[in-house]
Amino acid sequence: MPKLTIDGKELEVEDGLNLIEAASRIGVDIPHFCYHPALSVVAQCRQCLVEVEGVPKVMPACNTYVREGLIVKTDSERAVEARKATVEFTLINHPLDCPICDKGGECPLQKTTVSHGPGYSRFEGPEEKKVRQKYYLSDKIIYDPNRCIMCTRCVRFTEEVTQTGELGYEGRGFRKKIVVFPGKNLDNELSGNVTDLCPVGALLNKDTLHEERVWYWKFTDTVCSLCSNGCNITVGVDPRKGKVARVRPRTNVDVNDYWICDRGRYEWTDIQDADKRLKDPIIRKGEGYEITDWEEAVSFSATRLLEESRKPLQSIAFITSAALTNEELYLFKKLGQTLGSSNIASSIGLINDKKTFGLLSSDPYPNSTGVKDLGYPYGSNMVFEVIESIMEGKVKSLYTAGIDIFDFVKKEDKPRLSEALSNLSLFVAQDVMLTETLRLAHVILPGASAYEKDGTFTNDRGRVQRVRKAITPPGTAKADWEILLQIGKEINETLFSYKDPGDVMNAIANEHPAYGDISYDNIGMLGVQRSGPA
Amino acid sequence: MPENMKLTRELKEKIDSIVAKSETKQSALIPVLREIQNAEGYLTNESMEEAAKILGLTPANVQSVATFYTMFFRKEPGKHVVWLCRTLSCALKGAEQAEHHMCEKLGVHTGGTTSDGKITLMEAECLASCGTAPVMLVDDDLVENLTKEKIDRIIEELRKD
Ligand code: SF4
Ligand code: SF4
Ligand code: FES
Ligand code: FES
Repeated sequence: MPKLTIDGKELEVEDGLNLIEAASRIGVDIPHFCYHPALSVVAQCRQCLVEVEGVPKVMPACNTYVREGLIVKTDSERAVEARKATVEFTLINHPLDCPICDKGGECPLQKTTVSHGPGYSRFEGPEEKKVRQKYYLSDKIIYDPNRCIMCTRCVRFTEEVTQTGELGYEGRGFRKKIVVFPGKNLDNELSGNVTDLCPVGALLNKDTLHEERVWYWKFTDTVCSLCSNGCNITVGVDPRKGKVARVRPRTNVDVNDYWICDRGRYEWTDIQDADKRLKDPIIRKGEGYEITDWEEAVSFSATRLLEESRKPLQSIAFITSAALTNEELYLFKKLGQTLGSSNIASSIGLINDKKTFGLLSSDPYPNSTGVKDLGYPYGSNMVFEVIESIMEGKVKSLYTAGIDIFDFVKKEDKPRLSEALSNLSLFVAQDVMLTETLRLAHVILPGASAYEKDGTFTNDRGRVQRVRKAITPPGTAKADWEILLQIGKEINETLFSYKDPGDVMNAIANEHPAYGDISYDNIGMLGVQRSGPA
Repeated sequence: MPENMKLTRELKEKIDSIVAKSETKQSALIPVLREIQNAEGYLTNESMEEAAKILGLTPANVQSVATFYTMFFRKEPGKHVVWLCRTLSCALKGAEQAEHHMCEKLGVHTGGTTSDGKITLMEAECLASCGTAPVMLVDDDLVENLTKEKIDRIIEELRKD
């Protein structure tokens, strides 16, 4: 462990660190554009210059590594002058675009210009900047060559991280541009990450182009719910709009490194499609449906569920899916058990290690491991068995949460299932969007998406991670745990006396040894490994 | 040159022998591109993709190299090619004015070819004749201390040819 001095402070760090990383340990921020911890070091932007005692020239901090006794000055006049010269040089061909640039407010070049920039141009008279057309690199990403500072991060990303090599250069010198080969696209499953990597506004997302300003956003750290990998994300929300503007990766080297896939980044938007969402509880009255309030919906569901459970030859089934949080799965199962159901099942994805780029899993559920851990009868067969019993008319009443059971029957069986569902004496259904299943329910309870509630998911490697509420669900829709808790309370106040999801997690920890040490206090930002095999 | 032409057998053999002699496949790229350009006159997208396939590189990689070096053509060049130096010494001695003058005279942008197919105007990095800047290369000949008059004369000659 070499000891070195940076700006007069002594520190001891592990071998192999460069000076940017070492300085960040003591809170010293060395500006840099081309360096990124996940990419090869090319030392070509020259923005990270620092003074190293005994070395005649200023040195790039990204390509200078810690050594015993090294004395580094990041704030000496020579170092600062060198970095100032670099910004001035970079800005010669960079447009004064900040007011109309989506990167504005979080742009490393903008930030460095504020700290190191000249604030004026030394060119006399009207300045000639390069002016070239923007173009798309894919249907999601637009490139502005005028803003590009040729740090090459994006190209190194496609060469080194995805190894798909879509990006290259065209031309040389100030004419150089980032391009895709004619007729090709930047279309790998991780492509969106280049928009985060770009240290200027040269690579931008088309979906929110000129629509968002980052300084309005409030960020919520949560977990992606679109596959079993459970990438750590941060969700940017403009509170004035109450909508998610952007999903971005949050670094977690044990789960997703610095990246998320394009599904996690772009393909969650239908939950914000107001037309598709269920906004209020709906109850069947005679032949028609009526919008109702939660009081009626909850008391109707609870009373009718109790009645059904007390019938002599009762047969209540409970079906959910691995889209629900651990806390919700726990409450759902407990509700079923309280009502004496012997048909409690959850759909589950195939937990395997086949992943695209080490991230994107073929299991589309965020919580298949949770389903298993919480003692749902294992194997997706169970859902098929229960559905079969429904179609055979053996099940008299049904509660579904977060699942469209029509997805689980063959096309030719759908009419049979429809008929069976219409014949149920009670059908309670909870979900975020109207599905084929929900249309046949007696009461529809509008739930919340993973961006709208608190809880935990257990990813495919057994890591328990927190989902946090970033936005409120539409209308009067509620988090699924809240709905289950309210119905539970009506049925048995003492059995369902939990305050919140954290409280439910404590109950899970009590009953399931693998979760014994886990509580909301120690899950933290990056999640914890539950014990037992992944 | 037909756009969809695949490399001929003869060309493929030449390429194979270059690859065999090269330490890495990457280092074979420039000689391979030269060989293709010699045979086909310029580099098409198809031939660059083909080269990429042979050398195990990505097409974007080949494109980066092919567009970096000013001796490679991406479009069919004219009968004569003029490379104007755009590097520092020449820039200080008025290369930009020379370029504007050429463009105006020829009616093309840099990189373009006159409609009669006679002259292509390219730019080059330092031609190692900074002492006699500004300079340009006309096919294989260096022309030094450029002036408008000199440029006009040369264009006249090339047009006549
Ligand atoms: S587009 Fe952005 S990331 Fe890519 S080279 Fe330019 S500045 Fe760097
Ligand atoms: S890999 Fe899975 S968890 Fe990660 S962002 Fe993509 S869909 Fe979400
Ligand atoms: S970050 Fe060090 S030279 Fe670019
Ligand atoms: S700069 Fe033109 S020949 Fe050197």
